[in-house]
Amino acid sequence: MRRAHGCVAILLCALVFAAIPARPAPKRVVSTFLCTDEYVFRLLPRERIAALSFEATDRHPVVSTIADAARGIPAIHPSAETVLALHPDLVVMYRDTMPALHGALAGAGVSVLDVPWANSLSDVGRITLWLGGKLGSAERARNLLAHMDNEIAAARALAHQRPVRTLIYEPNGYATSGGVTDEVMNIADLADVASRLRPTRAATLPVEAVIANAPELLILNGEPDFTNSRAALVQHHPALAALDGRSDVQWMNLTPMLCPGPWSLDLAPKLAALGKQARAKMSR
Amino acid sequence: MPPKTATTIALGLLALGCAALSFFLGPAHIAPASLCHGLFSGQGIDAVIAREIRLPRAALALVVGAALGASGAALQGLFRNPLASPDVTGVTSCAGLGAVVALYFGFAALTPALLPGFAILGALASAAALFVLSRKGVGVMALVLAGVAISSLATALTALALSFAANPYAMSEMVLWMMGSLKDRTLSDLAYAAPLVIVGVALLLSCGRGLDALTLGEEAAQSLGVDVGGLRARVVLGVAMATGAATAAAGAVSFVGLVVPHLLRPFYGHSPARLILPSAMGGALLVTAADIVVRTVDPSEQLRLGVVTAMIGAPFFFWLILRLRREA
Amino acid sequence: MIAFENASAGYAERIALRGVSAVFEKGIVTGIVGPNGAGKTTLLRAALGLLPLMQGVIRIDGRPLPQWSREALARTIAYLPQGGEAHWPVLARDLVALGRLPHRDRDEGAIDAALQRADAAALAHRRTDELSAGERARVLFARALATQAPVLLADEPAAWLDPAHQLRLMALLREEAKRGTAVAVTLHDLALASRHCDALLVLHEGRVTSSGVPKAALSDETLASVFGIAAIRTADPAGGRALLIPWSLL
Repeated sequence: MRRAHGCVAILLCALVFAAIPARPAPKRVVSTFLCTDEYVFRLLPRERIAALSFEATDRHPVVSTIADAARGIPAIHPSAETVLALHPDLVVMYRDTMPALHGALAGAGVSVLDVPWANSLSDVGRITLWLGGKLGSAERARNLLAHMDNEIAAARALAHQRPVRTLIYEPNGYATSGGVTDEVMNIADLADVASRLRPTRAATLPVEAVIANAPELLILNGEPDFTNSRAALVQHHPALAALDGRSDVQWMNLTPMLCPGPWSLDLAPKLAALGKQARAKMSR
Repeated sequence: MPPKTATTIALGLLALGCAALSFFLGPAHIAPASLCHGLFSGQGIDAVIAREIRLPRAALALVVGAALGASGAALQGLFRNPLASPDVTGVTSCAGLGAVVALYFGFAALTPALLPGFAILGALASAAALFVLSRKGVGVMALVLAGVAISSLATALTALALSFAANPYAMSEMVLWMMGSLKDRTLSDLAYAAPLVIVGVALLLSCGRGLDALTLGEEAAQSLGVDVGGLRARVVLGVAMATGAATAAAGAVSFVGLVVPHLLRPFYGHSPARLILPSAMGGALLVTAADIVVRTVDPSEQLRLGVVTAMIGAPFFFWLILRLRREA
Repeated sequence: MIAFENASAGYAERIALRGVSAVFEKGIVTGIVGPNGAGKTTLLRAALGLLPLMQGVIRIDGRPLPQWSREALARTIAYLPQGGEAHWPVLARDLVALGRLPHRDRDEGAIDAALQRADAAALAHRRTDELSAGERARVLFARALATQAPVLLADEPAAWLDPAHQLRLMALLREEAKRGTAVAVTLHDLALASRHCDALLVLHEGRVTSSGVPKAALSDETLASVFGIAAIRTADPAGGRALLIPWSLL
């Protein structure tokens, strides 16, 4: 009799625990920053996204990788008013951005998810899985990482023994190094020389420095046709044309690397191909 | 007069000397000898740096300074007013507006000549306002106030234009246009600026005789055979060309046109005609020296050229106004 | 030398000269007098071509004004405008040298002579901003003389000068006339005008009311109708001219 009571007790407990609903996946998610937009769009089905930030679909200029794909999803200029008007059950923000908005949402009792910046590929993996869990999309998160691994493998297949000395040169002469960008370049077998050229405090390199220590591969981030600002004109400086023969100068759209995430690795095979091409040219 | 000519030649030589210094200065520490060799031989990296980077920068500093110095001298002669200069009267701001519209809205991409062209049109617009003002024999304060009004309007319109531009860097480059910079200028920038500045300054030099006659007032000048209306038009056109081309290349560099003629005036007998060429030399010297200071103080080049000229010029401007009020 | 034939001229708001016929002869000092707004300055400006005529013709040395080139006119007529100013503190000598602009040469001899005749030779190396009003007036006069023009027009040259400088200036003008120059001056001081001018032209509301020798031109009727005053007349102690002293309102 006592054993029967014990079984019923255990069965009842199990039923009670089974009845407690798992924490529900959020149904109205608002993302307030380009880099979280990229995550949210890839991890959630459209019906569960209440809004993305305006940069996700901005065409002037195009800074997101989902500018076309995300068309139709409401895009907001994030502020307390615009976010609260959407009645979100979760707001995804980048850690340490928009403190005023943080405070306002906390005051209104809305759940906020703070996404940290990724400084390495392992960070990227960790953050992707964590976000997937929080958003109730663990499956999609795992798929994203699987795709990322495929890209890494594809890039490595093209890789060679000797890394190519590379510099990524942005408008205004910006040349940053470190973080996820460096790791992606390493996978593509490109050795970043930016730090060796001693960028200024503002992380820029003067054209002169680039010419004096020409890398084997010079990647200009942007479009070759856009000369409508002083910043872009730096990349079009005639002196860079003089590197013909000493460097392989290529234009490439590096938007996926603007926000670190699994999508950044989409560039890896293309970069590896560029590296291979540069090596072939230089050894001729 | 021989002594005055000697001073002018000395100014010119000093300016060239500064330009040479500017040529040898740069982040890639290359020996002067290699730079010179590269400049003439055209072979190797040194040649690229010497011809495409160092040379345009040093030469443009001379050209921009000459344009602003000569314009200031001519405007001060026309208005008989030591406070007149392209920046105080709003000409450089309007030239900047023209240049911004040309660059950020794609006109400059059609033909590079449209960049200085639009800047000159902008300068002409404000110069037209000056033309009207100069007929009334306007007083010191009225000229300065009109210049402030024109400048403010042009700056506001420039900010507006930049905010509508499709380019993400547009708004942050506002500072560049307001404070001037010679960083990363190319031979093509020089190729467009130099001829226009030379023509503009030549036009101003041709006005010397008339400007001297204006010392006696407009009616007396006319009675001496000077076509005052034509003189006004030539000065305005010359200033618009020189200042427009200079601003298109380097942004709004302030106070050069105010300070240089004023400092040189006592050496040239206060004659407006004699002052134009020396002011061009003095302006070239000042801007080149300022460009050297900018790169020495802050090698990362976040400091703008206009900051140095403003730090010299603004206190000077203030002192000048006080002195004029005391005399009045 | 300069002949006005029925000349009418004006500005947008009003007509300043109505059918003026007059002559500025060589070798004499012609005084142009009249109340404020009578058109005295306008007459000079019309002769210089600074104001176009609406009617009539001005002949200079027989040729109509429109036929004169700007440079030839500048060499022929020297103008001393009212309230003479020097906007920049140049040396007196350099200021006088501006008078040579119509000739496009800097004839030091002419400049020296002009300074001498204007009684300003001692001021040659002083800066114009360091001169007194009377000294500056003489330097500006020298500038007008430096052009060596056959006609000299002066607008209120004696205004704001103290009596000594006034007398000096009028004496200089008479000397110039004696050299054969046609001198015409506008004056508001009737005493000065009647004493130093050989001929007077009285203007009232743009018309010539009388002209001729001072005694005839400034009759009691003219003084009453044009100026609204009565005057005392005395004889010049040195002999010759009758002197006029405005005395009372009418």
